[in-house]
Amino acid sequence: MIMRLLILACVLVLPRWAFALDIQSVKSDSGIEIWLVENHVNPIVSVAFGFKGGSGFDPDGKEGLAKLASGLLDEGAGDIDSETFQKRLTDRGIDFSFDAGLDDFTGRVRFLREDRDEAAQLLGLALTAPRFDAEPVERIRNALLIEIAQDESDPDSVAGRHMEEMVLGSHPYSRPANGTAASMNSITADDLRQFARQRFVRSRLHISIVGDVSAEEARRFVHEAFGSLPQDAALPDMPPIAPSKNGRTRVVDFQVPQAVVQFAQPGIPRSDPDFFSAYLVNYVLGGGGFSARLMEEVREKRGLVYGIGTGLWTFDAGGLVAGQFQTDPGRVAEAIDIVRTEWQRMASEGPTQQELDDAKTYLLGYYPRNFTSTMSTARVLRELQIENLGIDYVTRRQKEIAAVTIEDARRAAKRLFDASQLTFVVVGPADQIQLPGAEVVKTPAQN
Amino acid sequence: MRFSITRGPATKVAGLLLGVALALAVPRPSHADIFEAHEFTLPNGLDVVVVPNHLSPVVVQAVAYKAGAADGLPGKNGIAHFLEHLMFKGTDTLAPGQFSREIDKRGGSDNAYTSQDVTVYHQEIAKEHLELVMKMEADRMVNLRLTDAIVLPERDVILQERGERIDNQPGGRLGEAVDATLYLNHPYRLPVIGWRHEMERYTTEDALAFYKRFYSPSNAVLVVGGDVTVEDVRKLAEKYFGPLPKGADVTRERLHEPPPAAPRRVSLSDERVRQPYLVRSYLAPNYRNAKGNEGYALTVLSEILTGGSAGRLYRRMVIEQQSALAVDSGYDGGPYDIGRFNFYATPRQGGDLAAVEQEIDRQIAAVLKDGVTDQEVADAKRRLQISAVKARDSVSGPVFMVADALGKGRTLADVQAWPERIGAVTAADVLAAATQIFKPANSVTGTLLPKPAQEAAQP
Repeated sequence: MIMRLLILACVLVLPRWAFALDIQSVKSDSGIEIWLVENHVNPIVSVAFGFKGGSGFDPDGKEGLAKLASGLLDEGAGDIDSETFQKRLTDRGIDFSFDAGLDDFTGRVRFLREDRDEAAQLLGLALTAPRFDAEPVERIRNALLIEIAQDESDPDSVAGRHMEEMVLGSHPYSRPANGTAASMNSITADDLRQFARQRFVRSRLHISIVGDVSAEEARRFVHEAFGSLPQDAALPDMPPIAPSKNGRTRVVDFQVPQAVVQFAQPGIPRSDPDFFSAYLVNYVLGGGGFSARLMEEVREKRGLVYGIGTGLWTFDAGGLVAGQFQTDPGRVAEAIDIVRTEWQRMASEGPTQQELDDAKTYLLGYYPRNFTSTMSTARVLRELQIENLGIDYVTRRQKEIAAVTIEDARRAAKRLFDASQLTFVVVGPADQIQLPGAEVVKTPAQN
Repeated sequence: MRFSITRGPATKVAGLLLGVALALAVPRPSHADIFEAHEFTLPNGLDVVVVPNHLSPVVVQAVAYKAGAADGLPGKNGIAHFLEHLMFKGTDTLAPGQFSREIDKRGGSDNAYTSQDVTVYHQEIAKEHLELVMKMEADRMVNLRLTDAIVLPERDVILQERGERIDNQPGGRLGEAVDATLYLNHPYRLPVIGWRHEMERYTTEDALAFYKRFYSPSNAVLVVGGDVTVEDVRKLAEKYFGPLPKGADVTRERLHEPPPAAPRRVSLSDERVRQPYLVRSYLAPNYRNAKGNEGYALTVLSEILTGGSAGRLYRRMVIEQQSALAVDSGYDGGPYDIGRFNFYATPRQGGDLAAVEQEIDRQIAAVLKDGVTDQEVADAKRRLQISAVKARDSVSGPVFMVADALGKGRTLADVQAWPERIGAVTAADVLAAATQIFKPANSVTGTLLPKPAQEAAQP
């Protein structure tokens, strides 16, 4: 799970834009705010929405609840059974997709403009009256049980589970988002119905709509799809994470030809005033693909890996800096050594002026690439709302990035990176991995 | 990362993407905005296609070389992919790695992929930098400079890549075994990345020989999409690609397949497999060589069999019988020489691969005996055509689709007619195409199985 989250974090914190995007804020009759961008290039409408409260809030013993619910919302609602519901979607090519993140439960809907009423009606039913009939519940549960079983033999997932345990301890974030076989089997239709009632509420809802739609049509769509949701329901607070600062190294003995290595240390939240400085120095160290120092040192100069990358985790309850690579078991020690050296070099020296300038022009220049489809645009607008960054973020963001100085970057690097806090998890054949002082675990962690 | 290899059976998504570049979408947009691609050829033979799309001030450029793994010499079929990596290692005027750095520091991204038939290099960047990416792409078409000091560490990188993608993945190894068995003689039987023992011996000279033979304007297609006009692109292409020498004529003549004599089976067991699955692949006509509209009929057939929840196999196996957790099929008509029709199925937990396979066979037999209904064909066609409209909602999608198809020897007109040709398919066409390909001797069945726990020693 670690790396999936890492990728998500990268998406969330990528630069958003600096060009004029005409975002309208409109309210539905039911008082729900919508961020709307009209774009009439194609007869397509994309809707992205999200509710605060994701899989991190699954009740103890019911891990996997949000994930299971995400697979069932298009499997029957109101008096429409699963088969008919699916047929109405596929007949018109209406795309429904739901995703249980750690902090948020999100959805995306895309349709041809002529199918707006049909999409609104089906979405409204899916959110307010999901059926959770036995047949689809068992079918989707079985699919997830297989995913859970597969994860046990997947070196990436095994590494992620150990990393969560070592760095996050018993925080709710360290629980498996897909659940365990036992927790998945314990979830009932009543649990799912209660989930829908408690989570799908207007007070925690954010919506954006982009595409071939007018403001009036968008308001009607939202009123129809979301207007009858309850206003509010209780959601517990998420305690802040307290990530381990004692860097440890663990080797998980696992018979694969190539070793998987993950590493992480405490980071900063999205709301931190140093966020952009930290984002830029991470870009220089490991976030910038082929321009990053780690890629240069580990791949380009030595051919040790196919890829290596680092990213900032920025979740509601706190942040981490994390990374991953794969290499031959016999070369793990050498690669880890380089990561440590570069990590500490970044902490003590920071980036060069040239590296910082290149990272800034990357971030500034990236902006329009977020908006190359109606759905990608809608997703960005939804994230801005979920992160509470404000509708003026467009211009503010560019100014903030441009204002980062070399002193800011050095300060952030010193604050962010500390090799002594780095925890490493290596999943591979232990007898071929020479890491003195590492703890060796014989079997994959069981949930 | 950079080097995604398009290997193995194509997915249905890839099939649908063929509808990206269309002039005749059905249902038609409610306003006069019909996608159009424009094509012209430079005197040195470079084929240029422009796909304007003004969603955002961004451009996407792709250069496709009409050369892939199947064009390599015996024992060196992974050279196309190795060269793809080395194309980022510098020219007379660009230092190793500088190509990507110039793009990164402007907020762009660049990448490339290699398949059996084509090697594609692509960039996405703010539109004011189109001139830069075109200049650099034209430069490395003829001015690549390689030394052992640069090449040999990269050979380690491709070996690491093989480790990640194939050796560490039981499914990847099964895929290689299926390919090596489906094609008896044609080089599609060999992995795009190469066999490890051969990769270890690739040399700088091998890569340069492939480069000199295949990389030239007359063997390439340039596709530019996004917030541009045809005139912008024409001016820049003439300036940067125009002066390049034409290059030698290249013919693609691969070994031909003999008539298949017998169905084949391969099975791979690995203790890391928790979920067995089955793949069945049939040789099929491709778009380029099909005598009639078999390719389009097979696309419609795949949609009827497994298109969403309405598909025959999905309804039967996943919902009614509950023998399978997932079932899918896909037709790939893109390859230069031979197309392919694939089935995949995952039995339910504790379920039986044999039962799943029997049901696929029963469903194939039912199609061959009774054909498909007019209603099924109409529904499938409508769904495919809606997917074609939706595929326009992207800057990069249409560029990749056109570059890949033209790099595999298809024409722009052929690609643009996709929705129209899908629209012309009849139930009789579907039956005829199914009858043509669904013969046991045309097929390989592959199974991925858990390795049974070792038996305890007996006293």
